[in-house]
Amino acid sequence: MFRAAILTVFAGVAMLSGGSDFGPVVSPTKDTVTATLSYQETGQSVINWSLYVTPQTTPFKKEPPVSPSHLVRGVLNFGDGPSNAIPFLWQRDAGKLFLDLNRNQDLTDDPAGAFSTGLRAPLSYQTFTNVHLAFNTAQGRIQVSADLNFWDYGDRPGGSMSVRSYWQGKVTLQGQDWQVGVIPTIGSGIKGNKNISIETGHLLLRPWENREQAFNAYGGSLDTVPFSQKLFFGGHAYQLNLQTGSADGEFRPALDFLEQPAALGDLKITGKYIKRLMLPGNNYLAILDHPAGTVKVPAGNYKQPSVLLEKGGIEASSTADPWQSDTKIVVTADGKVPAVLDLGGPLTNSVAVARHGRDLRLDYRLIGAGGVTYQLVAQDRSQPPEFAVYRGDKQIASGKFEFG
Amino acid sequence: MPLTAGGPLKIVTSSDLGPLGFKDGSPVAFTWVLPSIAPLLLPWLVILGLLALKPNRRPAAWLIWLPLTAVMALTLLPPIMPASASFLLDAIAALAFGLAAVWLLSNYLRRAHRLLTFFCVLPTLAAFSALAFVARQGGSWLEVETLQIGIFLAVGALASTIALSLGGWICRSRYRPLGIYPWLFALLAMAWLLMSAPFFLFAVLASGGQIPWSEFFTPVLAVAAGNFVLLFPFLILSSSCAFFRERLKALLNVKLDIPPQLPATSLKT
Repeated sequence: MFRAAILTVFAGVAMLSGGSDFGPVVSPTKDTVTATLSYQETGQSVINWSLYVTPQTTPFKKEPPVSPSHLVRGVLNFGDGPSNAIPFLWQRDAGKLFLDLNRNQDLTDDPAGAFSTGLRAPLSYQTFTNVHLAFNTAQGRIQVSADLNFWDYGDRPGGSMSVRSYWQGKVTLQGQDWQVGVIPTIGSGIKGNKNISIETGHLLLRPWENREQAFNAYGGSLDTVPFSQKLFFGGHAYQLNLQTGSADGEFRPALDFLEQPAALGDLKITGKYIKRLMLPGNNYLAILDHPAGTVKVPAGNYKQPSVLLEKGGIEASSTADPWQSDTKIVVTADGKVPAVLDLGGPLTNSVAVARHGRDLRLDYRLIGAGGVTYQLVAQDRSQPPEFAVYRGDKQIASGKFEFG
Repeated sequence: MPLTAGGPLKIVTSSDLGPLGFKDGSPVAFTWVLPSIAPLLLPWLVILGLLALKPNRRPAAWLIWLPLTAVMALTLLPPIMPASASFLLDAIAALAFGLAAVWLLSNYLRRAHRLLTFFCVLPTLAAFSALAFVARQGGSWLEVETLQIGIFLAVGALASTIALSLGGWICRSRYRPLGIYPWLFALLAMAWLLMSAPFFLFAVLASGGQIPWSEFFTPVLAVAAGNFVLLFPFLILSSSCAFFRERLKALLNVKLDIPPQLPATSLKT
């Protein structure tokens, strides 16, 4: 079943927090809709990255006057080469950070590179807020707003970066407005992911009316999904192309949405209360909002779903690995028997019981359809789950579970 | 959680899920077979057997029950640590039995040379502690977690033996309670730090140096303090009872109060 796309895209504009409903309209081409994304800063962290610090004792070419005691000197490594590395001085006792933003080994000519904790911070752990960094990538010069956390407990200094910026815009597809955006991966250079790129980052995709709500890429909300060029959402399949070119070398992203013909098959979902379901497949990354009963998805093999349940304002997200790694759902387009996805609510408090020597070990489980385990998004840790042990009708033991 | 009631059990968990589900979950059935009490009695019977040895056939020897029951009572108090760390209590209880055995056997363990005494005390302490630990674990002593606790126990036995051996050496072969107690604490801390350091350094290397030093010193010193608290009732007993004072001196390899055996030729009649 194919349907022609009737798409209207509102290009993103530089919106303040909360955004604006108005912006320049990009005329859609015949089949492709291009959404220009604009740089956006928020008050909350949208994603966290580790900082890989290479300490050094040799002074840089030019340094501001700093006391040698409690001084950490080094380089913050970003990307897969030295071109994006940032020399820094961290004067712990003064709560000051000096960044060589222009990377010329002169830490005195960066007026925007001096930061202060502003508080009487401990020597071992300090946070510097509202730091603006820029990275050169093949896709252009990417700017990032972040809070930098530094620590030094006596062995090797380390740090992390709480990113508070992304690129976003508005798109109207099939009559529904969506907020779309991209959050780049910022690899730490030497260990782990070495890239600074959009394609390995996250895609923000949520109803436009939710645009003022805080989000992050790690909270289980599924407002963001892994960036994928083959996307199925709103009942339609799209090819996503990221445009990044600009004449001045700055990163000015735009997303092309090209509706794709896709053979759809039936998927029967047994559970309830699903707010969003993300199904990574071999053909498409399928995103289903409020799916219930039997729904249409592109034919293919799907593995490792992520699901967010919601009812009455209470949300629960599936744990990291709800399925066995070799479990997959095969959806076919032959119109015969629908594939069955045993997922969703209602949820049940349960417990895994095991003998451990002379003790009985109880592990709390929050279980939904298909035995998939969940955790409440806003768990009140002052009210942990409780248990009671009965022999016959008589309660013989009770207690509270401990987190961890 | 320890359970003293056997049979078919039903376990019900509850948590407020709002409209996502019912507060009370479905009962989960589990049949709890009460563990045999015989293994639990075994370490106590072993101590009783050691009291039957000839050097221990003295009323004062029975005072060994005091530090032992004191430590056991400590492990039965309401939990003072999270359930995830409750395994430490098993190790503490087992090590207490080991120490009681070593105190009762010290006459046999003392050798002329301090190093030889060390090599007699260490396997004795480790063996009796392991026996008590295995008995306490019931049939699950081959589980990986239990084996990890066993390693922890072995390190505890080694640290205690090192502290006793070096403590006697530092006191220059003289028994001075006020001097030996602080030294034993310092030596226990040193032993635990030295034995834990390779594991910490490995973790530091594996993490790229992201582990703070405080995560090493704080728990290791806490464990060393716990080890000293375990040793302390036995030290108190040794200070207050002449019979066990001689036993501690034997373990420390310091001079005994037993009158020296003079040569027969020097006796005047």
